[in-house]
Amino acid sequence: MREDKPMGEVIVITSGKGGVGKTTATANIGTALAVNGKKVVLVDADIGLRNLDVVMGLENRIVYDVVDVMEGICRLRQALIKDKRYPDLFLLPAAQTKDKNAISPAQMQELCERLRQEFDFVLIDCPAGIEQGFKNAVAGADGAIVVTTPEISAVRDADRIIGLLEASELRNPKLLVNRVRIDMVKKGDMMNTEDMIDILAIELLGVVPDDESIVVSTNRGEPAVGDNKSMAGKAFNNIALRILGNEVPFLDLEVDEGFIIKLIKLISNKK
Amino acid sequence: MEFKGLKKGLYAVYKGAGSFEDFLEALEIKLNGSGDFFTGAYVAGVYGIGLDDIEEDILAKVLEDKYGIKTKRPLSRKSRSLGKDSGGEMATRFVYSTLRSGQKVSYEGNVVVLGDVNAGAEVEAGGNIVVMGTLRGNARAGMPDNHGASVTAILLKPTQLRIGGIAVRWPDEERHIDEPEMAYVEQGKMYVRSVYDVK
Repeated sequence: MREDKPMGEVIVITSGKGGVGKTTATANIGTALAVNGKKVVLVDADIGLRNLDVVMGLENRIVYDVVDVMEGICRLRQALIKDKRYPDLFLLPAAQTKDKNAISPAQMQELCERLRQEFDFVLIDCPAGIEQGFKNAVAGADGAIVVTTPEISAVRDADRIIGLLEASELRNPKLLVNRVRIDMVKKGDMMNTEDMIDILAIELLGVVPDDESIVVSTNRGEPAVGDNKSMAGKAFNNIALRILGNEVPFLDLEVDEGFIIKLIKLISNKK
Repeated sequence: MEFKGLKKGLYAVYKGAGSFEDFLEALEIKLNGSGDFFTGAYVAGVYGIGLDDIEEDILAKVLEDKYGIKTKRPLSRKSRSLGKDSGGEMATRFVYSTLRSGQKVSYEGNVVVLGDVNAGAEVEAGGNIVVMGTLRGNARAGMPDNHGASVTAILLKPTQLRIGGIAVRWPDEERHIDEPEMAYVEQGKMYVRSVYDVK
């Protein structure tokens, strides 16, 4: 333990609803924070359904997992996987052969206390749902990012989660709106960000556009923030910068669309 | 005795606690003292006193004949229908935050929510419910059988409403209302009106 280092921040990334992009967000925000010079550990709290290792492309390097650490089978240091691409990025994988009841909120709290002494940021990838897995994941956190997509069902679940976070003393969670399709929002076929903020009434951390490159990068195990051409990668990088306290304007997704439309108009020789 | 100009016309505001005769006297003193300032004006309601039918007739006649002031009838319908049993004198619970999906508040008196009630949240009261925000969830006022109760919200767009034994599913059509509204029951049916029309 280094005594001069300030305690790191523990942030849980949660959503209630499954499939909205918690794991992708954890991987990308964590990578972006590491790129920006912070020492980061990603903790997969989705015990029994681990994914974060796959998205990070580190699956084949798992020897020990978070449950092994808690049961004292190995030391914390042995379970941490160092990402070779980013020297300050580490992963603490979930166990796959156990379930959510293998750990307790108290154990998780203790783990977070140990990790925050070593790392600047501890990002916890929370499982979907509001049961034991959720309770474990939020137990040691001092901040929360709530991920939603522009769908009524996802927003409803996000609202439920914000209520539960507030009940467990996690005040002021931040909102991440994932997979926004500007063309659909413009046509009124998709909820816009203002509608979601109006309902959820929490601070907006970032808006991530729907981006095919995310699918490719997720399958390859390479976070999109490493790809300069990826709009989603750029959005996640901006989110990391905002977490670091920088004022970054929200990506003007409309400008991009405007440019494309202009281009199409130019080509089709219309006004 | 004061007149207040609101959207729908003038409202007579009576701050005294006396009888209808006292009110009428105060009104006449006020009107006599202001010359023909109110001539041709339009009175939409009376605050601070509950009028019965006969009193309303007398008031309307006095205003029209003596001062040339027109009135909208009934002048104080709400003050009649909101009797003692509506929740007006019940204890009140204040909720100092937004109620989110999955959260529920239940109280035997009135409930005031200083925030929104989101879809998936529930408020249940023996008396009235007032939401100082948007009501998107379920509200049940006047439980179990107090049909004099009401549900009021800055933006009223609940999923379902219940007042006493009368329950409604909110219509799906998008309404573009930017006024606070009150839902209440009259003769076994639920109605909604702008709070500016109440009393």
